[in-house]
Amino acid sequence: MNGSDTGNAQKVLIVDDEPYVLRVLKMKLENSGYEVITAVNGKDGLKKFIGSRPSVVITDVRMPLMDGQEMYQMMQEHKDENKPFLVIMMTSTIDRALHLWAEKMENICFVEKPVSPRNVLNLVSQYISKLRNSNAVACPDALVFEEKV
Amino acid sequence: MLLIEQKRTIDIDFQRFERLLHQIALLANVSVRIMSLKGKTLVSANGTSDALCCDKQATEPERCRAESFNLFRYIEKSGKPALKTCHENLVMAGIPLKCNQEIVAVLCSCMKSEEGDPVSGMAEFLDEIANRISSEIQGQYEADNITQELSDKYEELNLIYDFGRNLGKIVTNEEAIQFIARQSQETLGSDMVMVSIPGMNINEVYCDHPERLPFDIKDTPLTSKIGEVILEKFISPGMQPSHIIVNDACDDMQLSHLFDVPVAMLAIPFKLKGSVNGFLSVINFDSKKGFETGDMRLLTSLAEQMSMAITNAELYQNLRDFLLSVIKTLVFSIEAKDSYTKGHSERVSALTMTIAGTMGLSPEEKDALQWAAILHDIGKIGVSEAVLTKPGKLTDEEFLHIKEHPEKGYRILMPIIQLKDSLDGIRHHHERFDGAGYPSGLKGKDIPLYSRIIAVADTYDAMTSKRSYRNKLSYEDSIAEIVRVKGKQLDPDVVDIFIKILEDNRPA
Repeated sequence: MNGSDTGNAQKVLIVDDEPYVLRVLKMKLENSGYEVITAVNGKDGLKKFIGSRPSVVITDVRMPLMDGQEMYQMMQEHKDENKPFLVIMMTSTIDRALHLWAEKMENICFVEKPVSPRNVLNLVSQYISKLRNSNAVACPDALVFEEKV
Repeated sequence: MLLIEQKRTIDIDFQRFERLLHQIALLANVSVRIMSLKGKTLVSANGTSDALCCDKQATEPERCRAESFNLFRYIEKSGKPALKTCHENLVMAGIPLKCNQEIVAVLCSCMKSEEGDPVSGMAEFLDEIANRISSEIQGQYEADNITQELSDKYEELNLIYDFGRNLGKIVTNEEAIQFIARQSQETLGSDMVMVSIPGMNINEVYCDHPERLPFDIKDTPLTSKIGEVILEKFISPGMQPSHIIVNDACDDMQLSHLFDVPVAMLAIPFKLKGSVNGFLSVINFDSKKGFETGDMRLLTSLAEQMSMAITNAELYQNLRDFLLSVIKTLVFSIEAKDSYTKGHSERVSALTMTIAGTMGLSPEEKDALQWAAILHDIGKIGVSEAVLTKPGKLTDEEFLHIKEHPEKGYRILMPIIQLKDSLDGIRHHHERFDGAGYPSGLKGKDIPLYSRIIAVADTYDAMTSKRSYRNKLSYEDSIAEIVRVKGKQLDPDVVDIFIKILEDNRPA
């Protein structure tokens, strides 16, 4: 299962101020056929989120200008209701405050740093295939069409 | 070939040079494009038609094709730039684009050579452009390699962190091997994991979906045979490879034949105290999912961790065995005061553990219970030999003296922090279920569970051994007696479990 299965690549936005994390995840996801957009802080991330409407956002928590939590909240305010998305947050420690905050949020999951790129890829493809399956239920014709293609 | 280093294919996106080519074409008024050595246009400043190097000369496409074919063959052989007059006044130029000293594409152009205007100036300009493109491709290739390397390191680091977090929970070899097998399967996404350490009698196959395997994993002769063949490769003199990768049958006929179906396999030798004792291997039955160098490094790291965990588990086990032997010796020396109770503590400990085995206790609880059982009479060290071995009836005073032993044992062992969970089990092993026992007169389930179990084992062993004041009871009489005191002296639930165990194991 990968992003290019339908010929129309799924978009993934990666937000991190550490360039090597961006590079590694971008390569891993692109090799599996996803279209990857990168941003270097929360503010940049939000701008690119609105511009590209990705299916998955992978983000660091601590970043300059706007942190991951604030960005997530802004994304919720600016989201397109017809375009659900998953947020994968990368964090070195899941402290209590973050844990309590996350409990109230939806479509969010955490991975511990150092992240395993394979693990992140698995999360992304699991979510995308779940998304496709739920679309298939709502709109069975679309699935048939995809198969023909 | 047994050892295969997977070479990364050089995958270059030439589209990003489109703008550059376009500018050159405009500036120098030539046709320019990047083509593969086979003659396919990868990116072009004007049009995308294949085979033709020059769009202006489409009148004789066959000739163009033949000329460019010859030019490319020359470039491929020599590795050098080449010029070729293809038509009157027209020159074809081809400059190899290289990455890792390998020709990955050719920058080509067709230009007019008018009289007194040799193309050498243009050729030099193109050569310079080709150099720049090559160095950018090379840079990208290296950056990609480093990124891949970094990605592998992230994976490895993640594994090591995970291992570190779980190391504390790994106590036995079985736990260590299971943990590593699960990790290998998850991280490498393989169909099957095989761990073989013949010296430790380990030859295990792990698989989440055994029904998908082309053979029965319970077929022990077959799995041992596979294990032997793989291990042989690692220990045969002279070879001793650091890993084996088999991605298709041609890589290793002997291994491939074992499975009857196409397999991809990666195996890493497992070293304990410096020599190879076994191996860890992952196997895929979908030949599309081959293994790469990155997988090899990860599995090597896992094999090293397994070796560490097993060494740890062995050290722990050795220490524990040693401690247990020391304690048993200590207990024996106390029991030696009274020939009638010789071996009593060890027998009680064995009976207690048999009962505990059917009660669903955790390994930690079993551990604490075992210490309590082996040490339950340690307080007798403070009871005089004359009283312990006195034949006939004890005076009230003597009996009170003997009754102090659970409390004495408790006090003796109290400073040993590692035994804190066992202390209550020792202190209350003479309580009675009806509350008439000592030292505290606890009743029913208020008596600690460990004490209630030890009490049953203790009572049974006392009845089935000879004492200074009576002979030993028969098997039937002991059972009858235990049943008689059930609910009065002993916990009825524990008694029921115990009787069932005795009856299940009764010699025919």
